[in-house]
Parts: sequence; structure tokens; C-alpha cells
Amino acid sequence: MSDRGQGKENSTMRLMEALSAVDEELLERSEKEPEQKEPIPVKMPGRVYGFVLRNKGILAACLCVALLAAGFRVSRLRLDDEAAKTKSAREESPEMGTNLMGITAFPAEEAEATPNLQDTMAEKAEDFHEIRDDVANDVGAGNDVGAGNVEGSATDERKQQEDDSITESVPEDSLAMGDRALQLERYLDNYYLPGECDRDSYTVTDDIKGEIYAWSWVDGGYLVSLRLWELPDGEKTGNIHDAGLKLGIELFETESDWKEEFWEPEEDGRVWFGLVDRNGVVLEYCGYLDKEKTILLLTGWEQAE
Amino acid sequence: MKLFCRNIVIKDGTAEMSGGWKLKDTEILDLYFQRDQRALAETQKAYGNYCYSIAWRILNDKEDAEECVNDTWLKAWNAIPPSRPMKLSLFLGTITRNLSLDRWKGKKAMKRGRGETQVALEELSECIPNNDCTEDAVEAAELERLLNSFLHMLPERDCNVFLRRYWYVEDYAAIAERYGLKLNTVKTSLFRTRNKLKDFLMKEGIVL
Repeated sequence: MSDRGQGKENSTMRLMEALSAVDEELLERSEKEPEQKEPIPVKMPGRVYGFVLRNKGILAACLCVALLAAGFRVSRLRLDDEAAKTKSAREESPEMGTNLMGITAFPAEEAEATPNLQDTMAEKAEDFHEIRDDVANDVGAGNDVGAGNVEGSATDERKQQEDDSITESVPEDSLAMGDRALQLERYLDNYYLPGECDRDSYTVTDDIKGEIYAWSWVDGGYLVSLRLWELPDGEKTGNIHDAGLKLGIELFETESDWKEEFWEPEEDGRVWFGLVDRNGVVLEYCGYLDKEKTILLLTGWEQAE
Repeated sequence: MKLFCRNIVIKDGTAEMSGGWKLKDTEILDLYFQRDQRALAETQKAYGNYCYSIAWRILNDKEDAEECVNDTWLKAWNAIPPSRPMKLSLFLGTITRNLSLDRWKGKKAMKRGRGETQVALEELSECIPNNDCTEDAVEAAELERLLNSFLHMLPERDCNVFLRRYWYVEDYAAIAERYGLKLNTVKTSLFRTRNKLKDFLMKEGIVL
């Protein structure tokens, strides 16, 4: 064995021996069996409870539909309200112009006299963006939104342009992976992080992981990062989790119960892990979303398989 | 006085003392302080299995493990008094662990060691910072102090898992079963703790 290898072995042994002097308090704590949680008393479900238990899937679906419908109604009401306000403002001050976004442009003299008006305009613009995003969401989900169609089709065009640009950046020999990337991209656009998130997508080459397609968003001040890459050939056949540890990342197979296992935030609150599909393609996630949102985000990938 | 070699010999032990119930730590320690040989029999009875399991996990050899355990009793006999350990099990376990590691090193010098210890050591070698400078290696006492402060900083579960793996040299499955965790969770926890330890040692400028 080389001197260097021998030296490292000696160092490891020193570390192992130093562990003998660990505080008794810590050792004692490690010897205690963890407290068993008291079993939850099982009651015979009542008729209503039993019905809910048996049909929980259907009920959850109904609830989702109801929530979507309610959200749609609210966004329409807000649009109508906005339109009514604009109309009344136009009637009250016919000399004022309106821009395409429905935000009233005040004359310069009046703006100077009332400096708060600038703020009001900014707020209105923000409101409009929110409404537009809601509508765009509904379009993505396949809903007919009436007046919002103009904005919705604009969003579609923009999405199409983005899709085209991504297709150009995906090499032909990784077409299957590129397809997955596009599916994920569409999913993300339609159901998650829509609108004005500061988004970026790029391709990088890593020494170990090879070519990586990456997306990142800034969501509420937190960076959410997704990266798509393929497992090295030798790693596809073995234990995926162990292969991940060798590569320095926790990996879960999409077929496994990853939704239960993955949640282990780092010290800074960041969650970082990867999902591997049966072809050995890895979707690496790194971000600060809560568990529910992370599952929501990555279930799209699982379904896209 | 005849001390142990595998089988415990008690010259003056009574029937109640050699079989039946186990004495409390304080009572066993009192026997040591009175230089009563029954202390050894009682220690064997109370902590024989515990020490044997530590030695066996490190050495992976029945005979060697038994010899280490018997050497442990001898060392304990020589150390108490003056020592009066607060927790006898940990005191004895530490002696067994050190003796077993020494024996393991001796065995390894002759042929490549096998078993869980080799695997645990290979894993632990990931924690050694790559440092080519010519500074003197850190003193053992300083390393022990730093390790302790590192372990105190860890979350309880990670610390427990780390100690079960690298102090007791337990395998993953046993640790997972003990704490009701999934195997992958244990592996991940150890992986992260090793990385943290490496970072910690590097930050402290430790050369091993």
C-alpha cells in the first residue's frame, strides 16, 4: 500500500480511537430505545365517517373541482369589477386616456398635485398582473375564460416561443430526454410558478453527471432549481440510493415511496434530492418549497413518464 | 488470585451471587473497592453480553472477542479503584472497544481485515480532510475534544445513528431497527454526518 494510503488509514484509525473518548452522556442517549408512540385508538367508523373513508379519492377530486370553479368565479368577478371601475373612471373624466391594460393615465399636472397617484397606478398595475396570471392559469388548465382569452392567447404564444427556444437547445441525440424536459416545462408553466417568476433555463456539462439541463426560478425570494441529467451507465443497474450517495446526492426511484422518504431539509432549510425514472434519467430538485409544494411540483415529472 | 480466562472462576462466591439476580452498579463497584473477586463474576454476569457484542462487531471472531472481554475484566480490576466510573457499562464498553481495535489492528497487520469494522473505517476515511501540509498532527486529546463538540452540535437522531455505527460498529439494518428508521434514512444520515464532520475538521484546520 502506498504511503499516502497507509497515512489515510492511520488517520482514520486515530479518528476511530478518538471516538472512544466520546461523552458518556451521548453514548447513554444513543443506548436508549426511542419512545414508542402510543397507538391511536381505532374506533369503528360511523356511517358518515365510513362513507368518507371509502370514497376519499372521489371526494378529494370533487373538492378540487369545486375549488377550481370557485377560483375561476373569483377571477372573473375581479375582472368585471376592474372593467366597471375603468368604465366609470372614463365616464367621469372623458379627457383622460386609457392604455390597453385598463389602467387610467392621469394628466401630468394632476399627478404632480397628488403624488400618491403614482403609487395607486403601480398598485393597479400589480393587480392587473395578478388577474392576468390567474386567467393564464385557467387557460393552461383548459378553461374558457371569455374576456381573458386575448391575454390567454398571448400567453400561449409566449409559451410556444419559449418551447421553441428550448427545443433548439436540446441536442438531437437526447431527444427522449428533451421531450421529458419539454413536458416538465409545460407542466411547470400550466400548474406551477406561472407568470412573472424570474426564470432561467440553461445547459451545463458536469464532469460526473454529464450534460445537464437546468431550470431555476425565484419564487417568493427563494431560488428553486431543477436539473435533468442521466445516471452514469454503471449506476443504473445497482442500488439507486447508494449510487446517489456516491455521486453526493440522495436519489429516489419514481416507483418508490419517495413522497414519504425524501423530506430531510439541510441545515439551511433547503431540500435537495433527485428522482430517477426507470430509464435512469434524474430530476434533481433543490429549493426551499414546503413538502406539499415539492410533491406537487415533482408529481408532474412522475406523471410525465 | 486467579483471574478469568474465558470461564469465570469464583473461589469464595456464594450460590446467590454466582447465579440469580444481577447486582446494581454501585454494589459491583463496592466489591471492586473491597478487592472482592466476586466483582468480576458479577461484572461478567451483568455486562458480559454487552461487552462481547462490542468486541464481536469489531473483530468478527468469536475467540478474539472472548479474549478481549476477559482482558476487559482484567483492565477493569486494575483500574477500579482508584477509578469509580459513573456508568459502569460505558466504562467497560470503552475498554472493550479500545482493546478490540488494538487487536483488530494487530490482525490487520498480518492479513487484511474483514467484516463491519473494515467497512466502517472505509466510510470514516471520508471524513479525513485532504491536507498535504506539513503541520504536526493534532494531539489525541484535542481531537477527542473536537469530536465531542461536533457530536454535541448534531441533532440527536443523527448523533445517535453516528455513534451506533462508528462507536458500536453496528450494521445499518440493526441501527434502522433500533430507531425505527428506514435503511435509506440511516445511510443518508450517516452520509450527511460524515460530510459535516469533514467540513468541521477542515474548518478547525485539523491535520490527522
